Amino acid sequence: MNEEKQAAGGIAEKILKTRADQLARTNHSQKPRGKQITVLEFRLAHEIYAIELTHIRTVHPLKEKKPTHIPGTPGFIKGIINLRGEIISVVDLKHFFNLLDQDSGHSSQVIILSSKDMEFGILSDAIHGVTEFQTADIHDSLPTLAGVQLEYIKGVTANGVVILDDEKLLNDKKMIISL
Amino acid sequence: MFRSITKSIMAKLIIQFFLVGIIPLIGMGALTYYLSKDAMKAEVFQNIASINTIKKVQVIEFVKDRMENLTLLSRTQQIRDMITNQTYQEMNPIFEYYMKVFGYSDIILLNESGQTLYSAAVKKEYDPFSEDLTKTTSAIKGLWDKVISSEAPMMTDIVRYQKNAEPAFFMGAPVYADTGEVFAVLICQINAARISSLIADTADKKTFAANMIPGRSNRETYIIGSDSLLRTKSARSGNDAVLKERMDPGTFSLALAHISGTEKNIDSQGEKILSAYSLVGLQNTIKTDFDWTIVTIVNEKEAFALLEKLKINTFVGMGLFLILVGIVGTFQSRMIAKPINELSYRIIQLNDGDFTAEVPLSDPTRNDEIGMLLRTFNDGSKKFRHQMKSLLDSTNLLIESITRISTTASQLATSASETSSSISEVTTTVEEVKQTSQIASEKAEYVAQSSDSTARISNAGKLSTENTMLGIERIKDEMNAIAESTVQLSAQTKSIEDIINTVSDIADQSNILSVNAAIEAAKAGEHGKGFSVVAQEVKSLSTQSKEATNQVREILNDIQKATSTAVMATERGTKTVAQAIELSEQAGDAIDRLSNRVTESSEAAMQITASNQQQLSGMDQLSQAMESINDATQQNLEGVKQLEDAIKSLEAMAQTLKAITASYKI
Repeated sequence: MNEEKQAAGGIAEKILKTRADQLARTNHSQKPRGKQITVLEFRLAHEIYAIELTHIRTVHPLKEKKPTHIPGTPGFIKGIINLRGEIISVVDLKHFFNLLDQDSGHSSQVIILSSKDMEFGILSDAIHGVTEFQTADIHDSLPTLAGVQLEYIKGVTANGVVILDDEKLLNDKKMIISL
Repeated sequence: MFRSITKSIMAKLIIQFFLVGIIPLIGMGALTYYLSKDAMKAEVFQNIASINTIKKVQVIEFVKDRMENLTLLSRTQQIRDMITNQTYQEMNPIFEYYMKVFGYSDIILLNESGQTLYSAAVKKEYDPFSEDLTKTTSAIKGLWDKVISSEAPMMTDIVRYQKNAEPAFFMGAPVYADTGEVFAVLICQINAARISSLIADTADKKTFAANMIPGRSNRETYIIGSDSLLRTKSARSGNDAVLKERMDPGTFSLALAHISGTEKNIDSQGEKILSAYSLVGLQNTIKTDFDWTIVTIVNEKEAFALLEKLKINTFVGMGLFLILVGIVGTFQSRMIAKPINELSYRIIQLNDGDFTAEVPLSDPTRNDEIGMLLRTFNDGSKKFRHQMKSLLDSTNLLIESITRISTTASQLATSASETSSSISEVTTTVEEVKQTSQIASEKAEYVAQSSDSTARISNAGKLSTENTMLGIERIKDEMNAIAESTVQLSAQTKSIEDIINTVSDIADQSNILSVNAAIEAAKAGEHGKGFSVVAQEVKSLSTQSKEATNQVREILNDIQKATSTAVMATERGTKTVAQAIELSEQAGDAIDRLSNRVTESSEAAMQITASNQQQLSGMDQLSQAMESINDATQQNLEGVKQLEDAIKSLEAMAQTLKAITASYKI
């Protein structure tokens, strides 16, 4: 009985230690190096992308409401949503970037990008959160990348997060559709 | 042996054929010969008789003719004148003419006193008175006497008028003078040879008809006088025999008595002859004082030459026939005798025990009795051979069988003794069985008792099974209650899941809220730094709550799985209970059946007891039966001994039979 008690105690101790390790946060901002940028990480298909907060207006959960499809628009425009009385068009970057597995998972959140000329939403599969990067850590985009993607990529972090160029996206002529 | 048989049967057959051929042949030949001989004899006799008659007529005619001619001459004027004038010489040519024409040897003229006046043959005028008539010949003298006395023409017998003279006869006729008185006698001399040639057959020999007449070549006719002396020539006697040779007077005396006829006799040379005879009849025709007998004879041998030839031909023919008969007979005999000989030889072989004999068939298609006989013999021999063979085989088989029977009999004897001992054992065994059945009877009673107690125990078992069934029913109810509870639990976990989903949504929304707060904080710049920390904290909380919900959801999943397992387990439990009910029912049935069986076995044990009683009495009977069997076995043993003796004698018989059959060659 004593042995069992001891073993059970051992197991409980182990569990507690693992939890503590999980909960312990490493402080990244302890040693800043050069210029720092703040980005919003999100997931598209199986890849993690990030956009600078500069042009992000807000993140809006889609829940069950799917964007209303508008006929005669290209495939990457998913439709329009009503954001607190404001009609905003939604772009599917997975489609736009020709990513594989376009329809896997349900895009539950819309990231609203806005500039003074342009405003639209981007569909994301999951929001990871706001993170800060040192610009020094950002590498240029991979030479192997090519096509549409390459134009809108600012760089890739050491963690493999692709940082999108929000300015280019907002100023892209392709996004403007005239019916 | 074979040779002699061949000879005998062949010879017999050939002799029989010969006899069959020769008897009618000889009979017919002989009959033909004698009938022919008689006919021929008659023919010959008739022939010579007619020849005899012809010759007789010829002789009479000849004599009459000469006599008439002489008479005519004597009455001529010239003769008278010649005598008157004595001109004999002048008349000579007339005489010569007559002599030539009529065959006179001499013409003599005598005067009334019997003196010779003239002889034409010698052309001499005789002195009538100087010459004595008697000196010349008594025959002429006699004739003269007769003529003078009778004054009629007369004739003499054939005589030798002189010594060494040819036999001749004389005719005389009276010469009348103008005055009417006889003054001379004219005599003519005719040679006997004339008559001989007249009656001879020489002239006929050349004709065809002559050759057809039997005995013609040898036939002759002659004349004899009343003194039985020959008057004409005979081929048998020669020329000198005339008037010397005396013929058989006995025969011809009949002719002298005017009887003509035929007869068979032997001539002077001892040859057999056939003769016909008759009286010439001169006395009747020309009034002579003598007469002749004319005889025609023929050599019998010659006459019957044809018959002889016939005889010879017949014999030759017969000989040929006999040869033919011999050949045909031999051939036929061979045809008959050869197969019979073969057959007889085979039969002898058969008799010696050789059955391989088969008669070779020279003509297999021969259909007569012999052919059939041979074939039948062959068939029979074959059949017999087969039968003998089968007999031999059977004998061998018989011996083998006897040997086997003998062995079997020995075995039987052994078995019988064994049986005897076995019967003793069986008797003992029967006693044992009797005892055993008594024990069995006791055991059966025990079984009956024990089956009664078993029946009681099984009833108790039945009660227990019923109780078990009740308990199981209760377990079933409990199981149902458990199942219901589990289902309820499952529903409650569902509602927990809903709550968890709500919490998860809240976590998600607070996450987004934290992001928006961070965005807003970023927009606020330096002033928003604190707010940024708060947003970070909010995000951390939402993450934690999300993780917690995840853990709860996992736990809930485990619970759901456990409840599903529990549901399935209860279901299985329910089924198991149902099976248990079934099994216990079966057990109840089984116990019921067991109870029944026990009852039955109890009854059976009772029956066994009864049967045992019967068995006991049966065993007693069996014991008695065994005793009688034992007696029978003893008798059997004796019988087997007798059987062995019988088999021995049978074996001896079979050996004898084998020896007999072995002597046959098959």
